[in-house]
Amino acid sequence: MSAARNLLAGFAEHDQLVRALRRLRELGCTRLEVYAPFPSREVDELLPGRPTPAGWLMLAGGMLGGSGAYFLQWYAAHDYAYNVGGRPLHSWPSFVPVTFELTVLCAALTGLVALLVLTRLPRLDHPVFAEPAFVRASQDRFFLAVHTADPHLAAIDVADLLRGFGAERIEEVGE
Amino acid sequence: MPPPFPHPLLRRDDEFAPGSESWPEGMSRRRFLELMAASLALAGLGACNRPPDGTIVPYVVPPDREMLEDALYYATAMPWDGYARGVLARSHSGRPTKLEGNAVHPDSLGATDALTQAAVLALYDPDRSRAPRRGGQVASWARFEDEWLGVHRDLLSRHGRGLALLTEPTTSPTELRCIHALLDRLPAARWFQHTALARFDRDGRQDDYDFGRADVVLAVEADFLFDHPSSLRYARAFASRRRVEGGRVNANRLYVIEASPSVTGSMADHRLAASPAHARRLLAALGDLLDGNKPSPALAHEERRVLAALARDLQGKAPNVVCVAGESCDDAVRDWCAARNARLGAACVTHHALPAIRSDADPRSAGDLGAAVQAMQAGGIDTLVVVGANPAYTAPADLEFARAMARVARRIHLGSHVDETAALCPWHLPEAHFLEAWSDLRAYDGTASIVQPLIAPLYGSRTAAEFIGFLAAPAGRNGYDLVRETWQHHGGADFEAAWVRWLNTGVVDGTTASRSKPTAPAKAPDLRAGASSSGVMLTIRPDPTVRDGRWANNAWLQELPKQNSQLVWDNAVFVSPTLAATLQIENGDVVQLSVAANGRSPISGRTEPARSAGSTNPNEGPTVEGPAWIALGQADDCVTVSLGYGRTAAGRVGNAVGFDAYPLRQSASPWAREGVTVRKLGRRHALVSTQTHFAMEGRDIVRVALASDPAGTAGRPPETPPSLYPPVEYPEYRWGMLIDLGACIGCKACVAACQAENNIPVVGKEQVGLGREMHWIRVDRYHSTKPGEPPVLHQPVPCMQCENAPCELVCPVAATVHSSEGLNDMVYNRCVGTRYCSNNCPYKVRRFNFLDFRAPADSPVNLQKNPEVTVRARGVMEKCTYCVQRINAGRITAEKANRRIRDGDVRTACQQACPTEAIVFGDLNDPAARVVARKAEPTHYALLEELNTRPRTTYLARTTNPALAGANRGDAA
Amino acid sequence: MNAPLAHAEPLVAPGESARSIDARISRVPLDFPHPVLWWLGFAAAFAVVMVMLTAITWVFVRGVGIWGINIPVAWGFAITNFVWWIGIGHAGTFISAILLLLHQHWRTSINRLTEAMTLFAVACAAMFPLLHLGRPQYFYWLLPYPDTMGLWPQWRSPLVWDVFAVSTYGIVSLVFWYLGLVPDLATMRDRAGPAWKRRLYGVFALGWRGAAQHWRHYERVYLILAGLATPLVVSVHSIVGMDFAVAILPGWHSTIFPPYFVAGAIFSGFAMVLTIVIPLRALYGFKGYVTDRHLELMAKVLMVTGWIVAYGYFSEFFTAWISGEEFDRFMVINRATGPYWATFWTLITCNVIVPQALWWRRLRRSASGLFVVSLLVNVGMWVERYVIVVTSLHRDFLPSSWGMFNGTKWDWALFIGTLGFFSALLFLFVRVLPALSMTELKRFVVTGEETE
Repeated sequence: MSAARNLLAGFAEHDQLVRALRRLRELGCTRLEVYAPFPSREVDELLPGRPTPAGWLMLAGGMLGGSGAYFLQWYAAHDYAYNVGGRPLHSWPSFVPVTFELTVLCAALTGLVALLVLTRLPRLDHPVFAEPAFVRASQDRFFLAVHTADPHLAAIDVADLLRGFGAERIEEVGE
Repeated sequence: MPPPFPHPLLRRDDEFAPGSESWPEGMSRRRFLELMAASLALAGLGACNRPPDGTIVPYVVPPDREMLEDALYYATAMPWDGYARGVLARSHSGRPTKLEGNAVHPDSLGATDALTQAAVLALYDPDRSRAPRRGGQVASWARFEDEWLGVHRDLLSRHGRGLALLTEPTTSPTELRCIHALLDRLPAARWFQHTALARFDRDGRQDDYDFGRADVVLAVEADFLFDHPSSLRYARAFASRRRVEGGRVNANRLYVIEASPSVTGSMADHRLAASPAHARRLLAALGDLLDGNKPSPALAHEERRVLAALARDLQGKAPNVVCVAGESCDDAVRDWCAARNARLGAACVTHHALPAIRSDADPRSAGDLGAAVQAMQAGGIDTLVVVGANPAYTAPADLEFARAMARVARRIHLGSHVDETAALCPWHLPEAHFLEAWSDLRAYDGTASIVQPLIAPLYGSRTAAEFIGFLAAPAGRNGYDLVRETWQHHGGADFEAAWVRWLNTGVVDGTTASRSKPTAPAKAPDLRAGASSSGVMLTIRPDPTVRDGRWANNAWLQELPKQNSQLVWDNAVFVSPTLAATLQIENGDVVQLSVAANGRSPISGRTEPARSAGSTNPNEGPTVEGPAWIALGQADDCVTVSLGYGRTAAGRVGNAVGFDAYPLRQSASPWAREGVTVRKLGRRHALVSTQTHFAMEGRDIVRVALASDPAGTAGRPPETPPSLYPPVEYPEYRWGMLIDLGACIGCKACVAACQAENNIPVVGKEQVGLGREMHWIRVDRYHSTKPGEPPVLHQPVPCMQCENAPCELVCPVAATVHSSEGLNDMVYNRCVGTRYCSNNCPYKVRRFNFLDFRAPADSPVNLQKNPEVTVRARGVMEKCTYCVQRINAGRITAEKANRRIRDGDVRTACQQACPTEAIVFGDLNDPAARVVARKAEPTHYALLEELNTRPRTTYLARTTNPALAGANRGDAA
Repeated sequence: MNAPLAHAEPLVAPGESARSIDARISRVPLDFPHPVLWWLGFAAAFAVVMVMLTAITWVFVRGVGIWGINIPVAWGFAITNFVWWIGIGHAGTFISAILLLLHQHWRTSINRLTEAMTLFAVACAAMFPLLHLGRPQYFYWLLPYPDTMGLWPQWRSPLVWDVFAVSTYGIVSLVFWYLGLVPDLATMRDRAGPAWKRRLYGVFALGWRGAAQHWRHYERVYLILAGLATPLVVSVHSIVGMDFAVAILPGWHSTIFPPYFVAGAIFSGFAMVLTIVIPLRALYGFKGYVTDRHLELMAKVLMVTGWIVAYGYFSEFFTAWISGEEFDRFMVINRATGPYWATFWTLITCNVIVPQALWWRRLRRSASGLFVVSLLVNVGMWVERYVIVVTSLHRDFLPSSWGMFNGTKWDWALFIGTLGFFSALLFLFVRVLPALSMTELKRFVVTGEETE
C-alpha cells in the first residue's frame, strides 16, 4: 500500500531503545528494524527473525575446498607420475598441509560472500539515509524503525509511544 | 666410441684454408664459418678444388661421414714437453671439441691428464696470435716471405754465419729434419735449444721404469706419477699394485723423500719431507745401512726408523726394487740412485737405446740458452729466430737474456701468442696449434705418432717445421708434405696403406726404441759432501697446472684446484707449519724471498715493517715477493715456489696472476737454491682454494685399509638400511659408479675432463673465493693425523645419484627427478632456482649459476662447446649427470644393433680420463659388469650411508702398505 | 558476558563515552594532527622504500649472485627475512582471533592496529620467496595451473606448502581485517566533512547502516573467521618451520621446529606490536584506550613466548646430546663456538636473557623500558633466523665442502628496504583509517559487551 511508511525514531541511550523495543514486541509488532553503531545482544534477542545460516555455508565451503585440494594433489601426482626421491606417488602425509590451507581459505571466502549476499550489501542508497539525523546511527544514536501498516499498531499512536520511551525525534522514511 | 677414421685431408694446397693467411682483426663468426666451411669441404669433398675465397659453403648436403649430429674421432698426438701424448680428438661438425686418450699409445693407454683435456681450449684461446706482426703492426706472411728472401740470400753468401735458431727441445722427426736441413744449407748457422722445464735424459740416455713389477719404490724428488712424459703409463702400472681384487692386493711399497708435497708423495706409504740438502744426508745414511755400516749422519728418530725399514725392504725385495731420482736432483744424487739400482740388480729400470728421443742432446745442437746468450753477447749473431720458446719470460735470471738479445739486429719470433719474447722481436709470426696442423711427435719410449689436424688453421698460422723449412729453403712447403716426406721410407712397400694405418691408429708401428740394461757408475758417490747445508733452502718446481707458464692463459687450468694444495688462480710460497710458526706467517701473508748472492744466510724470524717491503735486501741477491701457503708435508728447512705465474704478456686470463719466480732461478742450479731469507712483509694477498677445511673431524668419510688385510681393516661394507617406502624397481638399466680410492692419485684429470665434456663454465678467482666454483666432480683432499693412515687422502666426489635423493624431495617444481634407470636427472628448463636442493644435498655436489657465467656470445671458446650438452643459463642449478648424453649415445648405438648396452660401451668422461682406472661405471643390473664385481670387494663402502640416501656412486677404501704401523706420518719428519 | 575478570583498573580510561571515542579516533585520519611529524616520518620511510626498489631492480638485472649466498650456504638473507617478517605477521591474527576466542577484553584496543601490522608484514615477507629465486620470472611454476606440458608443482616440497600457507594467511587476514573495518568505515563516512571523503569512505563501507539483521550475520561470520584464523596462525609458521624440519640437514632436521617457530613468531610479533603501539599511542593520545595495563599484558605474553623459545633452544642442544649423532653434536657446538659464535650469543642475549627483565612489574609498565626490550627482541629474532639458516648450512656433513657466508651491501639494502616499506605502509594506514576499532570500543564502553 502506497501509504505504507516507516517511523524512524532516534534514541540517545541504548537502554531507551531496548525498552521501546520490548514494549513494541509485547504489542506483537514484527515489522521492526533497529539501527545501531554496534551490535547488542539484548536487541538481537528481542528482534524476530531466523538465525543466520552463515555458519553452515562456511562449513560447506571449507569441506569443498579441502576435498578439492586433496583431489588436486592426488590427481597431479598421478597425472604426471615421476619418481621423486623414491617416495610413493600417493604421499598422503605431504598432501595434508595444502589440504588444510585450502580448507581455511575456501571457508573464509565463502563467509565473505555469504555475508554480502545475506545482507544484500553493498547497497549505497537506502531510504533511512534520507533522514539527516541518521548519520549518528553509526556513532552514538540508536534508531528504531516501525512499520506503520503493522495491524497491531492500528489502535495506538506509535509516535507518542516512542516519545514516551525518550525518542528524540521521529521522522517518516520510505521503505 | 666409433673407431677413428683416417683424416681425408690429403691435398697439397689444403694446408691453409683460402685467404686465411691475411686478415688482421679478431676472428668474426663469419670468418669462422668461412674457414669451417672450407675445412668441411676439404674434409669431405677431397676431390674438389678449394672453395672460392670469402664465400660460405652451405651445409645443404652433408659431406661424407659429416653428419651434424654425430661426432668423429681422429687419432693424433699432443706435445707434452715436446713428447707425444697420444689422443683421440673428437670433432663435432668440424669443430674439435674434446681430447680423449688413445688406448694404443704407450704414453696414454686410453687415459689423459688435465693438461691434455685443457689443450682443446687453447685452440680457441681468444688471445692467440691471429696474424703476423711487424713492429707491432699487423703484417702478412707474404710480406715476411719477401723480406726473408733478401735475408736468406745474404745468409747464403756467408754460409749462415750470424744466424741463430732458438727452439724448444723437440721429438718431432720432421721438425728435426727441417732444422738439420737448415744447418745443411747454412752450415755456419747455430741452433740453440731452451726449455724452462726438466730434461728427461742424462747425456742422451733415458731411464724407463716398470712400476708394475716393483715391490719397493724409493722416489727422491721424483713425481713420476704426475710430472713425467710417461706419468700416465707409470700411474697405471703403480695403481695395478694398489687395487684390491678378490679381497686381496699384492701391494707395492712406496717410499718418498721430497721437499714439497707432490702427487707421488701423497701416495707414499712412508714419506720423509726433506730439503735437497737433507735428502742427501738421508740417502747417505741409507747407503750406510745398505752397506751394513752404522749410519753416520745424525738423523731424527723417525727418519732412522723409516730408513731402516727402507733398507730392509730394498735388500729383501731385490731385484724387484727401484730407486728413482727426479729430474731436479743433481747429478750426484742421480748417480747414487743409478749405482744403487745396479748394486741391487734392480730389474724394474731400463735404458732406452741411444739416441735420446728428445733433441736436448742432439749432436748438431750448439747448446742451451746459456750458450745462445754467450754467442749474442759476443756479437757474433745478427739474426735470431725464436721458434716456440719464450725465453724473455722463462730464462734464468742470471743470463739476462733480454740484454743479450738487444744486441741482435734482426729478431724473429714464431709463437702461438704475442708473448714476452714476441714483444722484443720486430717480427712476430703466429704458430699453429697441434689440432690445426700436420706434424709428428715421439712418445717417451720412442713410439712415433703422426699429428693430424682436425680443422684448418683458424688464424693462418704455421707449424715450427713449416716455418723452419721455409727459413732453410724459401719455397712454400706445407706440413703435410714435410711429414709424409719424413716417413716416406718407413712404411715399406705400400706407403699409402701404411700412412692411412698410422693415421688410423695414431701410432707409427715399429718406432718403439729398444731397451738396454742401464749403465751406471760402478760406485755410488759419497753424498755427505755438500749435504752440510744449514738454513733454509728454496726449491723451484713447474706449476702443477700452468707448468712453466705456457698454460697460463688457459682458464680451465687456472681454475683447476692445484693437485698439491687446492689453490686456484695463484701460485704461492709453500712453507711448513713449523717454519710458519717461527716466522708468525699465516696463509696469504706476503713474504719476500731473497737468495744470498754469496752463499748462505740465516732464517730471519723478525717481521719487517710493511714499508720496508720495497727496500733492497742486504744480500744483494735476487728477491721475489709472494703469498705464503702453509703446506702440510713441506720440509721445515725448505720453501718451495712454482713457476709459470706473474706473466705480463700471456693474455687476458694469465696476465698479472700470481708472482714470477723466475728471478730466483739460476742457470747453474735451476731447481734449488741455498741460503734463502724469508721475510714477512706487512701485506696480505687473498689466496683462494676450493677447500677450506682439510680435517675429517673423525667422520667416516675416507676409509683406509691395510694392504696386508684389506677385508679386516676396511670397516663394514654397506648394507641397505630399512625404509618406510616401498622399494622402487629399475628393471632396464641401473647405472652405478665405483671410485677406487686405492687407485686414485688425485691428479684431477677427471675434473678437467668433466669440464670439457659438460660445458662447465669458468667463474674466476673472485667467484671461487665466494664458493661458487662450478666443477661437477671435485677431488677432496683430507689430511689425516690418525696413526697408520696416510697423511694425504684423495676422494673424487661427483653426484652420488642417490636412489632416495634428498634433493628431489624438496624441489617445488620437480626440476630434479629420478629417471627409470635411477639417474638423478636435473631438468634445467624447469629449474626456477630455489637452491633448496643444494641445501638438502649432504654431499654438496650441486652447482648453481649465481650469475650469468656463460662466455660472451662472440667468444671463440664457444666453439669448443659440446653440442650434446645444454649450456646452462643464469639462475639454474646443475650437477653431474653420469654423462647422460653418453649413456643415450650408447643406447642409440645398441638399439641400432638391436641389443642391450654392453658393459664398457658407455664410459663417463671422468672414467675415461682417469690414468689409474680408479673410476668404474656401468649397469648394476648386469651381473657380468665390472662395476658389479668391483662393488663386491670387501673394502667397498658408501659415503654417509647412515643417511639412507642409497647412493649409486660408492667407494673402495684407500689402500696403504706401511712397513711400520703408525709410522707413515710423512709430514712428521 | 560482562567482564569476567575482576579488574583492578579499567581497560578503557574512565569518562570515555561513545562520542569521545569516535572523536578521538576518527580525528586522526580526518583532521590529520601533527602533519609535520607525519610527513617527516613518511618521507624517511619512503626514501628507504626507494632503496628497496633499487635493490630489487639490481637483483633482477644481475641475478641473486649479487648477494653473499654460495655453495654450501645457498640460502641467506632472503629466507632469514622471509621467516622473520612472517613471524611478525603472526601477532595480529593471534591477538584478533585467539584472544577473541579466549575472551581477552584487552585485545579490543589493539586488534585493528595489529591486524594492519600483520598484513604489512606478510606483504614484506611474501616478496622474498619470489625475489630469492634464480629465475623469478617463473615463480608461477609453483602454482597448480593447467600447464601445456602437463606439469604440476611437486607437492612434497615444503616450498609449495609455503605458497599455499602464506597466500591463505594473507587473504584470510585481509578479509578479517576488512570486515572489522566496515562499521568503522561507516562511522568515518558519517563523520567526514568533504563530500569526496564521505563518498570514498562510503564506498568502502558498502553502505553499512548498522541494521540489527546485518549485525546478526556479521557477528557470526566474524566469529567463525576468528575460529578459522586460529588454527591458520598455528599452521602457517609450522609450515615455515617445516621448510627446515623436512630437510636432512643437522640443525634443520628437528621435530621441535613447528611449535618452536610458532612461539617464536608470536614472540617477535608482540615485540613488533609494542614497538609500534608505544610511540603511536603517545603521538595520537590513545593512552586512554591502550593503557599501561595493555602494555603489561603484552609484556607478559612476550615473557611466556620468550620462555617457549628458550625451551626450543635448549631442546636443540639436549636432543643433539642425547641422540649421540656426531653431526648434530658438532652442529650445536659449532653454533656456540664456531665462526658464527657472536650471532648465536646475540640471540641468546636478546631472546632469553633480556626478556627476564620483564619479571619486574615496573618495567612491564614502563613504556620506554618496554620499547627498548621490544627492539632488542626484534633484533634477536632476526638473528635467530640467521643462525638457523646460515650456521646450519655453512658446516654440514663433508668438511671438504664447508664454507662461510657474509651478507653483501645488496643483502642489507633489501632487508632495510623492507623495513622502510613496512613503516611507510603503517604511516599511510594511520593517515587514512581509524587505528583503533571504534565500534568495539564503543560497544565495550556502552554495554560492557564484547564482540563474539
